[in-house]
Amino acid sequence: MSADEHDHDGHHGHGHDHPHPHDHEHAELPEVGPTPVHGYWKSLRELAGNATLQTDREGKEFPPGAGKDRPVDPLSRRNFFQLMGASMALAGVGGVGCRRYEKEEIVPLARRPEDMTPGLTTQYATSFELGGVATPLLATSFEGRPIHLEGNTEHPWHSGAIVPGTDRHAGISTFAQASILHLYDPDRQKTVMLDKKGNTIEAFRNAIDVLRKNLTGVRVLCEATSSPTVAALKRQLQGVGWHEYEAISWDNERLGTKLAFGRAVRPIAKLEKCATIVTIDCDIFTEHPASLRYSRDFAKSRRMDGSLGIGQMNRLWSVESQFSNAGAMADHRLSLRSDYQLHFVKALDEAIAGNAPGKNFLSLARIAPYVTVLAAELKANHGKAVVLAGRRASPEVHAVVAHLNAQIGAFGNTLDYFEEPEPERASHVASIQQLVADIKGQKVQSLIIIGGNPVYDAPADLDFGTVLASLSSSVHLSEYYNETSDKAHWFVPRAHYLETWGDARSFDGTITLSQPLIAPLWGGVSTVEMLSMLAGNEQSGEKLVRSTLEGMNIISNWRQHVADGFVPKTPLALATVNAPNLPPLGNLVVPNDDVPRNGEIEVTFAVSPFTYDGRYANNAWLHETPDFLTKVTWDNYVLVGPETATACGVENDHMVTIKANGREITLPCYTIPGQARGSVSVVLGGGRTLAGRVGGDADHKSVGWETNKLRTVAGFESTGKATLTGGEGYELASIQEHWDIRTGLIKKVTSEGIAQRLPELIKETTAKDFVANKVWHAEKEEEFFNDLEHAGNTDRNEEGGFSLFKEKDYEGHRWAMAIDLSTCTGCNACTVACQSENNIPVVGRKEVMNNREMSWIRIDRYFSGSPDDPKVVHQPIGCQQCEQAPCEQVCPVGATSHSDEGLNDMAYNRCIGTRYCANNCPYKVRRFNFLDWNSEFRDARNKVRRLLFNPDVTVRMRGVMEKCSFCVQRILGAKIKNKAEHRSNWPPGAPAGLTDNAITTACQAACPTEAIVFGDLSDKDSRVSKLHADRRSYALLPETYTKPRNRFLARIRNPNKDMAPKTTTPAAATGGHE
Amino acid sequence: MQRFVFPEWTQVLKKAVGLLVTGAPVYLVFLIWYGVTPEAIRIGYQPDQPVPYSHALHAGELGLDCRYCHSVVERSNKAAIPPAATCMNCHSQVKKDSEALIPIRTAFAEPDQPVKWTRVTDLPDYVYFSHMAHVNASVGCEECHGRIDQMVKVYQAKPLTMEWCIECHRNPTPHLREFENLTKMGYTQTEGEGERVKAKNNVNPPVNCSTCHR
Repeated sequence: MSADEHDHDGHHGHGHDHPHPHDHEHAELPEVGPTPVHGYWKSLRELAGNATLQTDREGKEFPPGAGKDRPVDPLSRRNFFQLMGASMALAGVGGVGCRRYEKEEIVPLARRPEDMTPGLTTQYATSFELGGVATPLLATSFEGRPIHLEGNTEHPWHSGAIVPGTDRHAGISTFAQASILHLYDPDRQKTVMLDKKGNTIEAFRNAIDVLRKNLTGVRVLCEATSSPTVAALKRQLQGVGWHEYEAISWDNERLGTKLAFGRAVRPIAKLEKCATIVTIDCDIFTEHPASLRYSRDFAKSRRMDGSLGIGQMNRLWSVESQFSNAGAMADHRLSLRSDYQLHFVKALDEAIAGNAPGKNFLSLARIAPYVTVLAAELKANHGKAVVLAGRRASPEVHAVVAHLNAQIGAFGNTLDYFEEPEPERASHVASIQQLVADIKGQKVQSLIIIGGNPVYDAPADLDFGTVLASLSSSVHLSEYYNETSDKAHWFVPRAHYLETWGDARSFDGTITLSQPLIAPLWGGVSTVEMLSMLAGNEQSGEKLVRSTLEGMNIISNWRQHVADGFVPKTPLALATVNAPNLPPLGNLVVPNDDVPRNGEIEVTFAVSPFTYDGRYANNAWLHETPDFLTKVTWDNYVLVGPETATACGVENDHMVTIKANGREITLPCYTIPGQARGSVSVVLGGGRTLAGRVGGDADHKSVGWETNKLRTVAGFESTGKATLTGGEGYELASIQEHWDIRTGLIKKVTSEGIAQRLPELIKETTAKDFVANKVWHAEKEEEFFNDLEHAGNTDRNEEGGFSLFKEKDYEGHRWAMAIDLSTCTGCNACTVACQSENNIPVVGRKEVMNNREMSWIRIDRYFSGSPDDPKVVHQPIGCQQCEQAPCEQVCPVGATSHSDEGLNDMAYNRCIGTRYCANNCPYKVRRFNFLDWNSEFRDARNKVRRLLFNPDVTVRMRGVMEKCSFCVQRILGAKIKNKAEHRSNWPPGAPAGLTDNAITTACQAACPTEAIVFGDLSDKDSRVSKLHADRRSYALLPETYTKPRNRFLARIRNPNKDMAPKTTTPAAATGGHE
Repeated sequence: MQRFVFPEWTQVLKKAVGLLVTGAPVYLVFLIWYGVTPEAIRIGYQPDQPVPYSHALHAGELGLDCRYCHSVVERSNKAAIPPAATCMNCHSQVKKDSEALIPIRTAFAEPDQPVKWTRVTDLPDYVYFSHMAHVNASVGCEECHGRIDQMVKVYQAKPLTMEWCIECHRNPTPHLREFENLTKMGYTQTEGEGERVKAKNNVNPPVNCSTCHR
């Protein structure tokens, strides 16, 4: 098939109605789509009225090959059929259907351990540590191989029930969830290396013995860890200098508390008690070390029937430069440059004391209410409010925030301070700076690097790579042979955390244990084993951990602690702090405005949602999980606000060169509404050169762009005075306009059409209206098909039924789901959990751009309001499990059909790939295997990766359709187990003894806020039944009469009545982005 | 010269030839059609095993219960082939020098050299079968595996096709028996046993796609 034909399909395929669609549309469309105040939109491009959607789509299943420049896929329709024909012929010759299957071997264990049942999964408690904070986990193991991770529901601090009387629940972060992928990654280095050549661990042991003879001049550079065993070994290594470094560091908080209280203490908020929560550049939902707990506590006080009492809910204020998940959830969000936030918090602090803001940027109409109204609210909510500052905020901001919290009565009520385990530790940047100075000053003979990748992510002005190479003796312990390993003399492979013993503290300090679920696949030693080697007392990980904890006198029953995954009653001690000091701020000059001027642009550094700080660069799951806001995959970029983009002359989907402090980087630009004026955010973690086959190495192109080159000791979190220069076009793999359900039944899509359509998809109300108007229903009467009246076997011709097709009566279970938009933070945990549970393949950057991503859950993100101060809604969409499913009626082979429990089943082996079902799905939730995504698993080197597959879910082949099944494997597993337990004990007539909560879907288990609830509608007391009966509940596209089993709960916002509603000025958004 | 005249009896032959010519294609089609059916191809599949274990001896003659070796069948999706350790419970005393048992003794002594059995009862990879579900509904072992007690070398006794599965899922009554009769071989249902067990165990096998395909 030629490129011409492809084009033809894409751009002129509208049929006879619109012979010249472009002209036609342009005649009707205003140049700039006027957007009503409550209108929703997906991108700036769409707001400006020139999204591909409006000109080319018209309710098509897939967007046209978007972008004429893109090379036509080699697998065109024609040669697809050729291939199909050939394979059919082969199939005929071989008689696929009539042969025996491949010969299979059964290899039973020679001696089966007592607690192992072949064919069943078992969960073991363990823990995952990132940035010195442990996430307690339950790892699912099938016949000795870990296949899935979930949060540990028994952990005393980390988990609990949001709704009183329900089972304990624990969420999980995307990074923790995806970390299991590294266990089976064949790119992990398997051998010890010396000067880039393979060597042995014995030779390394000998080298360490030599090194041990003189430990002066030996330094350790360790990634952040809260492991008590590492701390104990560190004490054994007296005389060895210790440095700690993390590229994503929360040390500004420590430094801030030091300024305020004279010593480093750890603030932990109790969000469930807060009526007002203020975040200053602080993402409490994904980035904060306590994000999982904070999400849970936030959901508690966010619920109208939650911890604040019936009819009460918290209010979230966010002041931030980059749009974070917290900003997206906020009732009031102020976008403000990070370097202006000190002025802001200072003004807020003074306003609470009664002083008005000065005549400067703080008195701008856009900003002033955020000082005065917020101050009044904080005063009114004395003892019920908290202010939290983030990683990027300077120590001064943290100190002022401490003072603020003292003023509003937060201490002891909504905020507690805890003693840091290591209060004297130097900050990460200072520590690595000191190390480099010492190496340059010839004070260091040997450096032992534990984990991390400082050559890649240390501040660029330290030039760590050259410094490390100058050492005559250096060791790197790491899972992967990365940029740092390449500059070190010795490389020692580190075992994955699921292969080793370990300990760490969760954010509250509770000691959390990890146990190996599998013997190291490729050898390797753990951190504690390595350190014990250095201490001259090499021991097994288990012995080390156990003896450390026994030495602390906290062990009562070791086996019980290991089974639980934590040692109870070991949190950090509560700190008694004095009244905080305000830091000396000197002559702080307050700027007059926040107008962006090129040359004075602020650059902040953002955690990568894909690779964290670069360390997960070889993780394809994370790369393909779209960022919660930009919806970009497989890249990193700089986020620029529309006004800043205009001021600097840079464009969306174009390269940008950023110059600051004599350094420069070039990376793609993403213009995003809500990014603070004059501030751009550079997403870290791209451009790895020695990550592996996925992230980039000598033979494979890097994913993303190297951005650490701009990061310096002085400008570690943000740097000012940057200049932006636009460059050539570059297409980011954004799924923003993929799978668009908004165009569904509307033939002619205009911006008015979309504006009309969206409030039907996203329902919102305010707390005030919701309480005042007791008859308000999210679902309006006229669009609600009353299925109680017309239930049963009716069709359109009989008794006034609505459907053309027979409707089914359901006896027994009726599985259903409810998703609460009020508490969905858009953290993506459900998406990654689904990927892990359901063996969902990744397709890569190129195929994402071809609209072929496979993720079963997509999180639709809509903006509303003005592009300057947009509001955001997230809507996770998987299969809606329609009772009257349109997909089923069009399948020519009956591959998708209804179960008698109301599930829309998908039989992969029956599917012939017509894609009629996807075309007929109004929600666009079906995913087609265009190519054989799993072909790489046939490589010998990738065999090990197959161990990760969930054995209860089919691995799909090319040419079949797939979609969310409500985790049917879990439903059936629970039903079978339940029945086995009740054999011969059935009370007569009882349907089935499955209680509510017996089944948890993977997405539900991963959700930190319990926004996803799954259950049985036939049980009137189940949570899901109650939620479906709630007046906030609504179905998507009710006019199609699909009767979805998944219902959403309308989002409730809680704005302050004194904050005037924003007026929309779409004109502000029109410049600088096409 | 006198014309050769086929004798009268050849008329019968002519008919037979006609029948052969028209019937042969039909026969061939039938032959191939039947030849590739699961009944013809799968039933009787009898691969060699590394150890010539005789179910006829152990389950038949000696009368060992199936669940002595397949011990997890009531609580797991798999019946599970027993570990070598189970064999050694007896064979550390009985026939302890037998050459046939070398692989068992090797596995027992060196766990990284397990016995590699060949799967006989094989379902496609997209079919999810649970022993636990069937055993607890009281479907006898014999219903799917046949007269194991008479098999010196195990072979596949039933077609294991989807049609065959569904036939029982639609009407399980003839295949149910009291739980204590579960492992009995050559068992015939007593009067009303199927209905009784169906009611008692609440056996309502679903015929949804997702019952077996996930």
